[in-house]
Amino acid sequence: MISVPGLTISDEDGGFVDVAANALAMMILVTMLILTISAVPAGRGIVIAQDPPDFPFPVEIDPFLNPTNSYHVVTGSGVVTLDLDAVAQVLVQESVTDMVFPEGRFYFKNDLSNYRDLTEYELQWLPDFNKLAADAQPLDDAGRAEQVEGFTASWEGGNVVPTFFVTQDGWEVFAALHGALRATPTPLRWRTLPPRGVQTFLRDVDQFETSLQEWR
Amino acid sequence: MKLRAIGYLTLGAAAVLAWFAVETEVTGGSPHGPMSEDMAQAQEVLDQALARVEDGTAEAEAQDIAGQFGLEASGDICLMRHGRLALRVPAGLRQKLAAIEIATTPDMRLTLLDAVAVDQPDSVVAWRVHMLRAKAMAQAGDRDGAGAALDAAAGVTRIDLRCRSDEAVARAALGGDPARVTALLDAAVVADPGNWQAQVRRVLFATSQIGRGDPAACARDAARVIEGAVVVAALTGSARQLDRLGAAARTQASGAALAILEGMMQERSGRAARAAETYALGLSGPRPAGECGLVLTRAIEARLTAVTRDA
Repeated sequence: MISVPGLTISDEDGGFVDVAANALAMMILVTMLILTISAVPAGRGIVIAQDPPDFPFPVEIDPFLNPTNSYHVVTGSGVVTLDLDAVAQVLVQESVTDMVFPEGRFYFKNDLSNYRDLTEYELQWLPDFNKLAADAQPLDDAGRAEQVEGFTASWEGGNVVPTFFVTQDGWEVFAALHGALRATPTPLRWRTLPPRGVQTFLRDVDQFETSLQEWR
Repeated sequence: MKLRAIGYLTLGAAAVLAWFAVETEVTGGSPHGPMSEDMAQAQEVLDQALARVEDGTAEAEAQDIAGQFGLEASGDICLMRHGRLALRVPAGLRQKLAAIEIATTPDMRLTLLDAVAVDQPDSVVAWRVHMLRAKAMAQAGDRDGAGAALDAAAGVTRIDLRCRSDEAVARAALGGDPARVTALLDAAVVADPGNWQAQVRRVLFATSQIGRGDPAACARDAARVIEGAVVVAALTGSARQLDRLGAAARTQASGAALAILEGMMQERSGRAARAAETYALGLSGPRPAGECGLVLTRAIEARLTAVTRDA
């Protein structure tokens, strides 16, 4: 029996409190253990994939003979093509992770510990906006018509679909280009390119398809 | 007297015709003769498909397929759909293969593939390189080259058997005789039932072929659509994606053939009333002539009855 002024605890009560406290401690430990196990560990720099999207690709586009993609940046001064082929050539020839090209800096990563397919990668692109603006081809009416003709020919002749990255000051240029392209059968994707933003390319190009940005 | 004889003859002919029509409707026999053995087997396949949907067996099996551990059904190749099929491949080699995915044109991909050296010809890496080459060649319009690359892929033995599904889908994508394409897609879903692309292709192709072959092929294609729709729905679980599938089918089929697919998609996404409307439209709309039309009518009526009863 424990007795302090104003409080008397019998051995029976004390035992009960003792068992309850131990049970609580055990529950806390088990909870922490479950939380620890359920959190997927990831190495530094590894991006844990988000939940897979709800089959964002449209089935009418052939999965085997699917289109290839070209990437273009739309700035206030016009359009410039992103040369990912040059990046690919370097990656085949050298074991590098950091590359500088006229369009900006690229970081390549494929050291994912939980890769599935052998072609999985993550390619981060830090655009050089000044260089992009300087290299952009101005789009007056004639230039726009020429671009649209080129995109349409690539689609009809080579099954190539353009994906556009629109900078903050490129909306006006893109609106006119988008309108002109929508008048043709050429499908397209587009997304915004925030200032100082990093654009990440993943293995599946459907990363650029959301409920709003899909093949049309 | 003569007129009376003609009347009796006419009545007799009408009676014979009526008996023949009833007999044909009841037994499912051909209006041009008794049901062939092949047709009887095909009808049995379709009846079994309908029964398996009706009693929930098809749904249970589809859920088992969709519930495979680690399955990512939308993966475009077996290595993406299933985990742990390509372990301990050096990052340097994977970097080269990733570069091929980064390249934006088939020609550039083929050029880069030539620079990738594979030490072990009978390995998952070699198989993946053959598949990349097949795809790039097909995208470049070289179907013979793509076929040769697929032959090389088929020669790799140290690969998970589910990967044969991708080879079959790729061969089917290269086209050819419809019977061959159908057989390839059948093989693809047998090799890996969790392959969404294979299932979708099979259902769409079967829908497009209904009414284009003989009645037995028509019944088998209808069975493929009915059972395939259940698996497709289980793999995606997305009504939106099923609607897209229906939209894709609308470019390739119409009438009763389309109604079966669309109705099944609507059923699987919980829109029974809409499915009933679709089936009713399928019954009143255009149907293939002859025995195929009768086969489709029976199948649609069976689903319409089930949907109406369950509602």
